[in-house]
Amino acid sequence: MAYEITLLTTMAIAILFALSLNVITGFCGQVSLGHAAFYGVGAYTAAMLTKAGVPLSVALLPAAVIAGAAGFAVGMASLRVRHDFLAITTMGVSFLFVGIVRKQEVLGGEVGIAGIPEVVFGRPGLLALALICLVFFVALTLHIRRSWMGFAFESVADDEDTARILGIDVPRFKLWAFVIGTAGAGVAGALYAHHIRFIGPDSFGFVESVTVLAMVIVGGIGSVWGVALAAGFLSVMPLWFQFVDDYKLLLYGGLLFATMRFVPGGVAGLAKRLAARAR
Amino acid sequence: MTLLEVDNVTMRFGGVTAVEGVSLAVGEGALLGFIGPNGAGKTTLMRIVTGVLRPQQGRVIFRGEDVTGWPVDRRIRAGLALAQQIVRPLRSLSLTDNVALAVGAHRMASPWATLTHTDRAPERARARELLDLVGLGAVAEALPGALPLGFLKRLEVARALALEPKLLLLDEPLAGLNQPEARAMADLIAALARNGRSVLLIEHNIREVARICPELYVQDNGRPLLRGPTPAVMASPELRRAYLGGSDAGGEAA
Repeated sequence: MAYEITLLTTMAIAILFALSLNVITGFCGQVSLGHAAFYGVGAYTAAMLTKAGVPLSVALLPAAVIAGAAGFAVGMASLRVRHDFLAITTMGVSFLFVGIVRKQEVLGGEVGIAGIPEVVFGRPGLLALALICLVFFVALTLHIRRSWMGFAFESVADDEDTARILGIDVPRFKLWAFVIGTAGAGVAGALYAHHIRFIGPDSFGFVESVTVLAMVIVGGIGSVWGVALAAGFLSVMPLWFQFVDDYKLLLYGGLLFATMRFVPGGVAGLAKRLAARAR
Repeated sequence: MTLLEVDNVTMRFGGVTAVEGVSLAVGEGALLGFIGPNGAGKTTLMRIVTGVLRPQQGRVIFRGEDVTGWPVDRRIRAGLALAQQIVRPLRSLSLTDNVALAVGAHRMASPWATLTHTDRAPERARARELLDLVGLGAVAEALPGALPLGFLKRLEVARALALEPKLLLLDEPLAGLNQPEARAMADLIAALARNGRSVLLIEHNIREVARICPELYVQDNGRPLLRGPTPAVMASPELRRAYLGGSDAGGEAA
């Protein structure tokens, strides 16, 4: 039972993390290569707070707020740049995060933070908390897609210049997508820190950013269910197969390439195509 | 009353001067035809008015406000709309959704309000009306990628109308349409103007422009050439010279 709980918690956190990037990359069309940095901001914020005696259920909020604030700051600085430059800027953010955290004694420096307290009710308690957060975030993203904000995001993802001609304040909507996405990543990071109960700067580096991007792209950019499926599956693969863990980068890189080359719509696109053919 | 005033605007791209010292006023309720040979800087001026381009010199005043420093989306929400010469449909959205998005543009001023509002039915209903108006009712649910250029030109016009603009900027809305379609579109534009919509119309189809516009503005080589009532402008030797390079042969220029 303990193993299944660990597995499910891993999946729930990965799905939450991937869905948070899906708001930015899938809905709004902005490629971020530094999403793990905000996951890290949430993880460090929550770990510091729970070590000081705050319960995780309370610490989730500041984790979301501070990660979202970091997202706001990065967004303000970079979302006015056009089109694909954001990928480069966020890549820089990813390295910047690791570089800064390494030098901070308060944050445990190179060693990281160990001995993160267990949550109330132990592992089942954490799973329950992760599932609550996940359900909330799934509901939020489904709502966004139906709302006029989702409509605006869709137009920005499709063609920024045309969105402007239709009266849409493109940088402002991008910033909203970025803040919602990074705040979600903060919550996922807080849960992750209490799942592993040890965090170090290298848990939130460029490789993690690419991994989560691979989950979004393999699942099908913009599709909530496709991304959830891909993230759930890809997150437990390394636990099931040792070789997947050993060759993680190679495998995810290969998957990313294969998806872009052969099924740009990802799992969701493939399912849609098959359904259309069956009819 | 003057709706739009372009004041002594100059735009250079590197060493090329596309528009030089142009001043142009468009009054409320006007239907002004804007013509000139290729390379006259017509589209450049249109793009300056909408804010896609920032001129090196001069000002753009819209409804009494200096909007020279404003971004495109703010000018659009203030009452400008542009149907572009090169069609730019949102390819992932149906024609109805393309237009519905423009119908709801007023919602886009506040992202928070867009997050709390989900109903698209009224905007989609209005979008269907506009698509019917431009003759696209039959393909309203199609994706733009599957449609010919003539349809997409009309989508541009429907989308611009959906913004309920005070001033409608049309950049060659007749290009790509066959003669009966062009005539129908020109009639539609004339009807809009009769109903009080102000229109600035760039068009190469001079026959249709001359038919519907009471007044013409001619630009050549980035400079204003002529402005006046259509019959006077059409009869002027300067116009023929601009189009035909000095020869006095008449007819319709392309």
